[in-house]
Amino acid sequence: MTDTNTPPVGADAEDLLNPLRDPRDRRLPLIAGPSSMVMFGVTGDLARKKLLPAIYDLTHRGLLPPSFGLVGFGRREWSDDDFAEYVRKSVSEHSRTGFSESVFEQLRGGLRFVTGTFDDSAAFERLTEVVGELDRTRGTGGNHAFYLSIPPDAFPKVCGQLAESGLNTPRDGSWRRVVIEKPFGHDLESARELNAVVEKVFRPEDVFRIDHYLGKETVQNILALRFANQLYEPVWNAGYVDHVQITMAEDIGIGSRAGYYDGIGTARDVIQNHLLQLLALTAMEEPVSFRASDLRAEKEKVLSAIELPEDLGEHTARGQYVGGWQGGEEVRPYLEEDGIPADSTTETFAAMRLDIATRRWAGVPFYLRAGKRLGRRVTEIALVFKRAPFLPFRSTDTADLGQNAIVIRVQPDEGVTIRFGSKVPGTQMEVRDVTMDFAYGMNFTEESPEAYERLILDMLLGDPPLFPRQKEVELSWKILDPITDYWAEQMDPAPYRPGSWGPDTAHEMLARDGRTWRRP
Amino acid sequence: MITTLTDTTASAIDKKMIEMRETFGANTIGRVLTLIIIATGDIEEPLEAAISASHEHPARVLVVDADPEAEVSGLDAEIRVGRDAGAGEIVILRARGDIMSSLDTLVMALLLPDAPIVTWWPEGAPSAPVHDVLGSMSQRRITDSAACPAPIATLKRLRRGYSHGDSDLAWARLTRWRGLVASAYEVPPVSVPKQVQVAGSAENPSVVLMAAWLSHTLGVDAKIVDPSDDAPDYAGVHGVRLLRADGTIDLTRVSDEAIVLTLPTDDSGQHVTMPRRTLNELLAEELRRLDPDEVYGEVLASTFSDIVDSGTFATGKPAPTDTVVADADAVAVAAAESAASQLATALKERSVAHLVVTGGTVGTKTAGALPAALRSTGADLTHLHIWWGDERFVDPESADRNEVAVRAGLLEPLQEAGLPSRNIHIMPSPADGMSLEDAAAWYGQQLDLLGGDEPFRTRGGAFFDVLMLGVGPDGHVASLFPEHPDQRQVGASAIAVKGSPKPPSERVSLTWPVLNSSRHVALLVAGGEKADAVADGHGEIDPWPVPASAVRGLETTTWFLDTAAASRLKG
Repeated sequence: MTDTNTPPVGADAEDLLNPLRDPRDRRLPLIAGPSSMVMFGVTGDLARKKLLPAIYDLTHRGLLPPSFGLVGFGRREWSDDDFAEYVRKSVSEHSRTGFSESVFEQLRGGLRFVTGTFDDSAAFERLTEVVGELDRTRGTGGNHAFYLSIPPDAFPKVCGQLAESGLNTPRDGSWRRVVIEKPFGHDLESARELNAVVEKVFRPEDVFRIDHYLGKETVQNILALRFANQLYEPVWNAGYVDHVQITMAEDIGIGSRAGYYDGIGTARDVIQNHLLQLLALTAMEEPVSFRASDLRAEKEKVLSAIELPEDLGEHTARGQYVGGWQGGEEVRPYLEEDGIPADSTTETFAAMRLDIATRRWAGVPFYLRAGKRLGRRVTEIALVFKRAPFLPFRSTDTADLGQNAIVIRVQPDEGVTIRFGSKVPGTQMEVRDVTMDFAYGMNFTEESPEAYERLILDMLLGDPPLFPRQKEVELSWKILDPITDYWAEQMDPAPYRPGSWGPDTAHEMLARDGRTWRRP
Repeated sequence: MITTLTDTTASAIDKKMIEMRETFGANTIGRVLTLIIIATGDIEEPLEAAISASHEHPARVLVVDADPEAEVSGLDAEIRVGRDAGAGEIVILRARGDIMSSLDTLVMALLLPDAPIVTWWPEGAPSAPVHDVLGSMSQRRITDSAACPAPIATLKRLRRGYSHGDSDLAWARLTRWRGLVASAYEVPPVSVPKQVQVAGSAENPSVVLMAAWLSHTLGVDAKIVDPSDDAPDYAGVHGVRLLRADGTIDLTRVSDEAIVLTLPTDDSGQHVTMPRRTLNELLAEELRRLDPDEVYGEVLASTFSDIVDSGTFATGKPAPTDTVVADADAVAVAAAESAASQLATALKERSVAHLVVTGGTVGTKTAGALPAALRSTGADLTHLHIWWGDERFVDPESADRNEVAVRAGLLEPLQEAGLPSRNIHIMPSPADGMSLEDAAAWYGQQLDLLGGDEPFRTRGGAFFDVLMLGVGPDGHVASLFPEHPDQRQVGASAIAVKGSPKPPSERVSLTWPVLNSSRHVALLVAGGEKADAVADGHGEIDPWPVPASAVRGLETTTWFLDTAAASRLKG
């Protein structure tokens, strides 16, 4: 993966022709080219708390060009100044790098607002004019990105309007891109429909699916750990690895997402995208380069090699949190959260075993689990190794010794832990588990950019490796659909206490294989 | 927490750190590099930058707070961990006196195993970072020419001594400017500018590097122009203008916070935030990549591309004069008397004097005549320093050593007369446990420590008071031989010479810039076999075929000759 200082692979040809951008000049900040972003759904939570602050933070870090425009599109009767006030409020509350009048001043010159609804053709004509005006006065060069921070059912209308007004068609030498947020459908069929709508209007390579999880540094650090080192590759296979556990736990409930969450559930919400992406990065073969197409080829290969358990009842688990005290706080059961029907069978915990039918991973189960209101907030990948034969030791020597493990912590406290046995000092010969820990500096997160900053910048630069493509999306639905179908018909979620590590069925599921979940 | 150790050693510090780790568990986890800071002035500001950078790059920071002039040698240390050290751990080494002569072994025990080393000179830059004893073991060597007394001269010096892995904060200060210019270049319709202007002072290294970068990459001669009169007084780059066929793109700094961009299509001016960069940010950027910054190297090389002729170090100084006497003994007496009076003047006027002695028959005779000559001036020798222009890298007791030759005649009598032995700067031999290269680097550093790099920055300054040189029949001086590739090394104060045409083949020699930083130069020659070399040495300055022609004193250059050696001189 590239980082912000290296030139993008697959960048526009004109970038590469700039003699000032020497690929060896790794200090030179990679500033997005002249461009603007048109944001639909700009008054939503995501835009207010994440997207606008990310754009501001990018400006603060000097990574957006001076000639950057930001156009809000919405129903409110706002002037440009009203919109500027709204943006100021949003960024002063939520920006990561601190509010500075001077930075805002820079952004302010390019702020525009267009009032209208999604079926108002006249509003889209006004939008076309505003975009043209930005090209003339700000020098945005005909490069425009459309950020659809809106519910998927509004996509057809907006895409249709963009096509009708010609906004989707770039002039020579400029680009038009569209950004959509997960969920990319709720099953294979809906994902295909959604895609058909968007790709009718934009070319596939101009569609950027944002999965903010993939903007996280550590996801890319997995690639660095695996492929930049000689140490891990020899043991990264079925010969040494007993099994792999991928965990994404949150300690909070569903909060205000009831409307979206109910009926979707944990498996569709995070396993389909985040956990399967982590699995793909962990299990894939070495790509021939980090170019988007090569990386995708490997991820697609490993995703298509995934096999589901024959007996889904035995090897998957599903849960729903009940009420109680969690970490000193009394919390409501899922069924009593605001906006959740009392008879909901949506799961807030999901676990499953997947196998990968490749030579590297034959016989090595990958256990995935994710959920809300679990013990603590943690995302990690743990490779648990086979036991050593212990030949020279007496059995009492190694009584305390577990299995060796390499744990990649994605969040929080990003880093890598290796667990191995060490002799206890002073005793005759007694071996016990110890851990060797690497953290990306104790204050690393302070310096590390927000995922949205990274993704928005990469999108403006046209740097695609971090964005999933439609094929990956479809492959993941193919994996998940049989499980969610089975659950809908035959398995209701089992209750679990908030602050625990999921329902008993999850622990039984591993016990059947003679294994236990790690306590992360 | 802060722990202080007085009169300590590196291994005691190391032991203390392990002890602190065992007691508090504080200073163990995941340090990615060792950062050595060589402080000559205030240490708090660099330290603060290092602490701040440690959040991004957890490091062990070794601060060498040096006082080489101290009478009594000793080492105090301060260890800071936890809250007082950011995400790193800090050891401040207060080194006094002779400890500075072995800086590498001082820090050796405290380096993190295997981890990269970065050395940073916040103020004084060594004459050639890579030839510095610490610089040579570092992956990255960071200087700050803008913080040195003569910034542009320092940058020139760094250019001469450049090696992969060097970088300068004057370059890092440009990063955001460069990013902005690169994106301004991309404003459509893209075309190569016909003209480029950089506004700022030509005495500021960042301005000079900016112009060099643009010239080098765009192939257009970027001009440095003075900022307009009403411009506020900023250090560094005031603005950049790209003059294209379709109009002018202008970037001008309007405050410490912001610059204004005007485009051909829009001259109303777009406000761009670009705060001036803090030391913390600069250091964090430097530590982000430890591989060589090749672009900086190329830009630096193109900045002062005209320094190629080593003869330039000798030009522009008073013409040499001749003192011709009967024989070698008379040469020695005349040269010794002249040197004694020059040294006495230096000691009186500046309270310190630096003398460079030489070997060979006449050189040794002159050295032998010097104690008596100095005695008659009545000078106090406490602050006299003795150096060598070159030395053979052989056994320390070998008769080939220049030092051995003058030991009885010069060094012992002078020590009896009050010269402190630490002021005798003998070039190392294999017995000191160094390789030839290490020996040269070590000697260069001893010069730097006492201020020997001062004149290295410019031809205008002087370090030595009297430089004595013999001249070989082939015209060589010190160990700079005619048409020998090693004489072209001008990046360091002292260099290793291999394959000398005259045995022994391995030597350490001072280089052109240092030899040419003396107030008075005395060339000591006797004997008819050297008459041709003397005649050639009187010709045009041309170091490659005739080294003897290319050393000049800032005040005087005198050929002390006997009649035989002077026999081929015209007129």
